[in-house]
Amino acid sequence: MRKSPLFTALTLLLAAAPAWAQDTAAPVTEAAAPATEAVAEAPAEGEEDLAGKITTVSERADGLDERVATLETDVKGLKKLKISGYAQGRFEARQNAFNGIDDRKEGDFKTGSGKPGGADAFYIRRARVKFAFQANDWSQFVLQPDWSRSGVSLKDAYVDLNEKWTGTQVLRFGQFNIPYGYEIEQSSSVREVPERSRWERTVFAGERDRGAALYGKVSVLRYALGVMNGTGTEDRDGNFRGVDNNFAKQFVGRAGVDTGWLVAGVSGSHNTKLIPAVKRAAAGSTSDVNYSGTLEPAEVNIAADVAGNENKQYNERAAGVYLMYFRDVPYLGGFSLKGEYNRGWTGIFASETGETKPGALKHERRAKMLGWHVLVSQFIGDRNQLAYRIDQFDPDLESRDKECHSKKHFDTEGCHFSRVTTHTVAWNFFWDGNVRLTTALESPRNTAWKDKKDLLFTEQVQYKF
Amino acid sequence: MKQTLLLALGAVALLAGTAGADTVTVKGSDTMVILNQRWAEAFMAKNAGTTIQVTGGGSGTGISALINGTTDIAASSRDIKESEQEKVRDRFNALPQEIPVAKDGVAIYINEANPVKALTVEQIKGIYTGKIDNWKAVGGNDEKIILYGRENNSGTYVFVKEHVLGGKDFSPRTQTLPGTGAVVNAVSKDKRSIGYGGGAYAKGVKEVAISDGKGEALLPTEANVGSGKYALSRDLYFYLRATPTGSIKKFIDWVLSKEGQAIVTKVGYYPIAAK
Repeated sequence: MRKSPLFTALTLLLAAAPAWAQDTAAPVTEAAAPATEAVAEAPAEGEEDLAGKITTVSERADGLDERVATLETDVKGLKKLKISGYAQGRFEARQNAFNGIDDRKEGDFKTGSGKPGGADAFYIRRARVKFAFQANDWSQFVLQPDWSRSGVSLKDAYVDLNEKWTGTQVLRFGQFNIPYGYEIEQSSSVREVPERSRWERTVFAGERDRGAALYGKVSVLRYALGVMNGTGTEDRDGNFRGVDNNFAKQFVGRAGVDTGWLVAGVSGSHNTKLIPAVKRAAAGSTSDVNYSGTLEPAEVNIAADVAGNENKQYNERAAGVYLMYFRDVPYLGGFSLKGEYNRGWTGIFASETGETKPGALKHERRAKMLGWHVLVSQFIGDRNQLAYRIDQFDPDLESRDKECHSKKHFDTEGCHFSRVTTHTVAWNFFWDGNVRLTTALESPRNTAWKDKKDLLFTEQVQYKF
Repeated sequence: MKQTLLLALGAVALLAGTAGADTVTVKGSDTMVILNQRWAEAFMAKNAGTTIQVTGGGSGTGISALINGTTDIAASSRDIKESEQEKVRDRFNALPQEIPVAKDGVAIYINEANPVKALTVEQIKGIYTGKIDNWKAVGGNDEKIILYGRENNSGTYVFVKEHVLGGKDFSPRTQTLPGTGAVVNAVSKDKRSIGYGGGAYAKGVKEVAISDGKGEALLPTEANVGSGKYALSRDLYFYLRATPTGSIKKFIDWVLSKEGQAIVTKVGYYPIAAK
């Protein structure tokens, strides 16, 4: 810490004073010594005062030095902790809650028990704070809780170990985004439309799992390889819920290129799960699956016989390609074209209700899944962004009733799962560096259903820091 | 449903602002702040309808402002990081544009009373990592070395860390100061001290000739920096989030012109090839 100029001046003055006195006294002879002594005594008192004051100032400066040094150490430590986050408040209005696809149920097409007619609500979709502590270049710790209408949950909690020799590999351990495709790891705070595609929301519900992953890059090549528990972190309803098989883990990863303006690659996942002990509806329960408002005979569940299937292992696999293309359009703004195409295979398929033959629920078969989306967005200036996405998801390409896809109405066999195509348009307005307003309209289409009035309007205000 | 939709769209449309007045913001590097101010003054004198707002804060601060859209131009004395490029891409669907606007040689400053005349990059690394803590080890007096440096949001800090220290951390004894001017001021007052910064700030201190250990030790002159022979040569950049248009393009074209580059020389840096 630099000494103050005042202190320096006072020090110099003090140092010079004896020399000045000596210079003055040097030519004096012995006979004049008493006079010199007499002259020296008078300024000695003044020098003592001055010396005393300088000592006081010096001690105070030393004290300030110590305090500043302590503060600097504290500030340096605090600077290693980076805090960021965002909150999303939403207003949603649904055209017809009774017949609509419940988008918040990760795309498993269950509806709530709401009455016919529209429904709307205000709610907090996400409120997250991310704590990242990086003591040095070799490691980092990240913690991210989330507060939303479903409660408080832990999103990310992981440690990154950065490889020291080439600086191109990172080992991650903990709970983090599953390294598949591009959409999962894209932050919800920058996504062009309110929600991810149905494929992602269903097959990788919650987007996160616990495990370890290696991320690497070589020139423009990028790769990620993960070993994870395989059940995610969300409690999914319906037929896509699995039980962690402690004897097997999920292997997931992707490999591709990132040239800056083009990101493309392939993804894959292999998982082995166990059939849960109880997954069928209880005997006598009912569900108005064709939304007619009355219960038909086929809609009264038959008791499930799952003894033979309990804890049975089955494989769930997924493979796909992803692409992101960016281009700056002069005088307009940035343009992007993004998409994924995925195929999946899951070891079980079962409708919750609708099986009319006793014991029929013992029958298990493989279900082939399909999910793809294409998203285009264009900036107009820096503050306005328009986006459109078409998203298609089919959880069972070979449904029990093969004619289900082509039928325009529900039949008594129970066409519970069929292809859903969703069109979404969105306008993002950047109010300032922290606030973004999103206005979006989503239109899902399911050809098996009678009523297609499923428009979902979303108005979202996001603050990000 | 229709009424709700129309009301919401109307509200958002009302909130949506139009483009502001003809103002260009330049934010970032403290190394470049004096240069940016001189450019701004000269440009505005000839273009009365355009306002150029210049602020410092460090290269990292400027690039963060570019990412969140609060500056048009980020001035930086270091290369943009890959993670920062990805953030610009996520936010604006476009990669940041990099425009070198001047050349600089990062100078190592010592007090004018210090007898040391030349250092190798390896010696500077030893000094700033704490392995060498006495001037006598590098040909100076038997005195403890006092270290001054920049804060970690500074591009100069990042440059020295990458190109001199090889990525290693600075010694905890390094006293961080907010700008090169402050570093120079501190070094000028203490003959035991050493600091670093842009070449344009060398007043009241002396610059050390630097060698990479193989060739001769060189000072950061225009010839040595322009040719790249000086070991710590670097470009100074403007980063933009899109291809420049309008007033931003006009300002940058002028900065790269002979007139703009003449100001670079006056401030104490070295010109990029003029258009």
